[in-house]
Amino acid sequence: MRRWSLTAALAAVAAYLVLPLTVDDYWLAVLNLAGIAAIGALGLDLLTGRTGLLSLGHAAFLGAGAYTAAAVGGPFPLWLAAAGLVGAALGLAAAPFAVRLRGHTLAIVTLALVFVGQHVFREWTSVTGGNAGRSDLPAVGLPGTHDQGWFWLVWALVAATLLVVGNVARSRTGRAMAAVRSDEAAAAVMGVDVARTKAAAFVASGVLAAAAGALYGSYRQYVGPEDWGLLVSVQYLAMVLIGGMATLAGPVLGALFVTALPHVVDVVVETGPASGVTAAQVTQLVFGLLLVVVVMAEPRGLAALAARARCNGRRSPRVEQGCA
Amino acid sequence: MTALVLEIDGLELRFGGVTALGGVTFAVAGGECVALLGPNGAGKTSVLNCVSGAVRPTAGRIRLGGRDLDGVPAAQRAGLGVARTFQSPAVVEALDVGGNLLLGRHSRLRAGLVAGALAFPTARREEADARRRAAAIAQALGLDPGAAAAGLPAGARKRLELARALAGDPALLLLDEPFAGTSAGEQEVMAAAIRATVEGGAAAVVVDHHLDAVLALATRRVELDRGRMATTGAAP
Amino acid sequence: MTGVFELVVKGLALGSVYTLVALGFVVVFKATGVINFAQGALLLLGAYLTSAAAVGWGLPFPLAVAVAALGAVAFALVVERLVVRRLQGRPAVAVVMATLGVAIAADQVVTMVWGFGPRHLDDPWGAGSVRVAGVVLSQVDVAALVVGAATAAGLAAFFRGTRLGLALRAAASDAEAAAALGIRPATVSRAAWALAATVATLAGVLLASGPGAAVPNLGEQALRAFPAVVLGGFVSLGGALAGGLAIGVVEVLTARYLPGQELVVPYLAMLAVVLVRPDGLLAPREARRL
Repeated sequence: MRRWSLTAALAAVAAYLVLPLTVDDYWLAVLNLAGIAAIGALGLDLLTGRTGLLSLGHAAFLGAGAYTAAAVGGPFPLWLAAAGLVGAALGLAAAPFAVRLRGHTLAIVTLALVFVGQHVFREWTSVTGGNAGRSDLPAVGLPGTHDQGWFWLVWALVAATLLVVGNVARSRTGRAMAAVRSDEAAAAVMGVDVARTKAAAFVASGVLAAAAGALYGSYRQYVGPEDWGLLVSVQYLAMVLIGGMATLAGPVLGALFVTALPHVVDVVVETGPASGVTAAQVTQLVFGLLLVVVVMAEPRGLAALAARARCNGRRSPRVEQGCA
Repeated sequence: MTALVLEIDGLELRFGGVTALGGVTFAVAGGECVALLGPNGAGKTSVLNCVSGAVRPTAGRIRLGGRDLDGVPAAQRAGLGVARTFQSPAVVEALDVGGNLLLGRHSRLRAGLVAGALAFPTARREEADARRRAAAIAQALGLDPGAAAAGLPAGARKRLELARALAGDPALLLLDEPFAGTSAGEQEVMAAAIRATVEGGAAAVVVDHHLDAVLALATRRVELDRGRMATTGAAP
Repeated sequence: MTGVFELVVKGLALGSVYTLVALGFVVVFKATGVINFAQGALLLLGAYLTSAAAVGWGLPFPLAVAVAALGAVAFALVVERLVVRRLQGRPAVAVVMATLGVAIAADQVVTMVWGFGPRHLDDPWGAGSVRVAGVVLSQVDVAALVVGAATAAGLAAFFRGTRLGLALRAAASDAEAAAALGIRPATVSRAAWALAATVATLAGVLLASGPGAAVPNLGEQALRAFPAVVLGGFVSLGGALAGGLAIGVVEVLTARYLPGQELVVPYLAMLAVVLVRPDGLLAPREARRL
């Protein structure tokens, strides 16, 4: 892993402390949503980017976390932990599918997770509030304004998540994940318990997704079944892909990019009744096209672009510096 | 007599009307290195696949240290000390050289997801220990643990493949064409490492077409012909 | 019981539409190994183009459908050429995301051009119903059954009887065999996508005609056919046929006896089946490896 220079680390801490005091609430909200998404995206990257298990079901885990937080309530650590536990349990439940199925079938099966999930979210009204959703999510007491306090909370959590995910990547489990992604059969011969590794990937991804969902709910103080549809799963996959799979910076950059996109479009493009198109349409169009373009042009994503810029002129085979 | 590490008895492998192995029998003791020879299609790789657990034989018995391996999955066999190299190196490009080496030690390590994620002291100690061992093997084979595994030249990939197998302190080495695509200097270094491991008590089965290199290592040779035994005997 | 029989027939009609979608999906997968998440977009495009041709240009209905199919095929070939072919050999995630990107972009273009309101197709069967064998069926259902059966029969003949058909069936799993048939991989890929676009157009027309209309979320209905693909074992055309019909029947019966659950039961069924038979209901159990 790259060593951060002291100046870079100090700059990051300074930015973290000062940004909420200088940026206006609108963009602060965008950063907050991006940070929450980053946590979820880091989870998905463990599953799809590092272990190679394509999952379209991420939205279901997010939703489960949000409704768990609503149902459990109480102090922040309690509902966050509860959401994480539910996410882990769901991940464990999804694992047998991953073990038995080949990649393409698994993709369709995870699609089923989203639909079944949304159906449950609509029907289980006592917990989820059905189609009307829930607006009684637990709040968190934080300094400053709502958006300021949440910025400090969210991005501290992002840092913690980066730490944990970095640990996993460097650990025995992380190596097993990479081996499974590279060649499952060879990994087994090397001694990797493939089933267990896939289960670990689903559990880790589930925990982070549920946590992100819970944070999302608490931040927005409202969740409804439309928040957990297929498009959300696709957006998270896009974050991982556009940002750069199997990297730490990638999912964070991807989350910032995908979250900010509709807002950037709003600012840049003329939309509304006069122009005949809505902001949502343009956003989605750009999003769809970008997905295609990124996949074709720079498959290693924004993280690789950033690394290339940093490494310009340096020729080193050492992975630590991130310069291939 | 040194204990038998590997016993193969009447091994048969048939699929889709093809008889890959039609009755193979031999044994390897600790400290022995067997050269498994024969023309292409003789079934050498099939023997390695059966012993490593990648493929289930149609008939016959495989025993490791006296224990019947029937029904034992591949990952578990690695845990029992079986280490296999592949003809086409199974290098994990997402990891660095050190990471690939540590994969060879995977079954000897214990840390699970949570221990790794939260960097428990036991996990950290285990890793540091493993990295020391891996560094020693890397040095013996002329590899840099910090280098990226992607983009390694062909010879280095073969050395990495061998290093990974050795990193787990194996009881049984199954080497599938370890010398293919390597230079004479690399072969020397690799042969030395294999010899050291075998002299330390491991058993080895080596398949390779570089006959001089293999026979210099081997204490015995087993020859296969179209899935069956040809001759067995001491190396000349 | 006429009630159940009628439901089953309706289910088979709906299932015929799902079969068309599933077939298109499986054909592309068998020929190129690509999971085509843009299948729904092709369906959507086919329906809207038919509406434009039939209502906008006033073409006779069969001609309108043909024109629409050509349009969908053209779009599919562009996608195949510009996107899919360039992604040869890339990991599944990349290709899936690319087809998803195409689908998302196409969905937007459709609403940008034609707006959000429902578009009718001027189809000849309209909202009328008909009495067949003592059962009352909507004319759309009859059309679906006829089109479905005809397409299935036609495709079966094509796949068994022509070199291109054989190549399409083999290409993804056995490139050598396909090459031995003397047809270039590029041609196989193009043919698969063209076929997928054509059946998607037929499916879209059936879904959007009769009492229905072309609406922006028509593509999502294509997703309901996915359990059919899985149940059929993903690579089996016969399986896609059987799976599609089965899903249609399950959906209609569930709508009657467990109202509100009909969209999720097929998916639950798929999840259950896949745990026991990962390769689909029709595939033989794969030789067990250790």
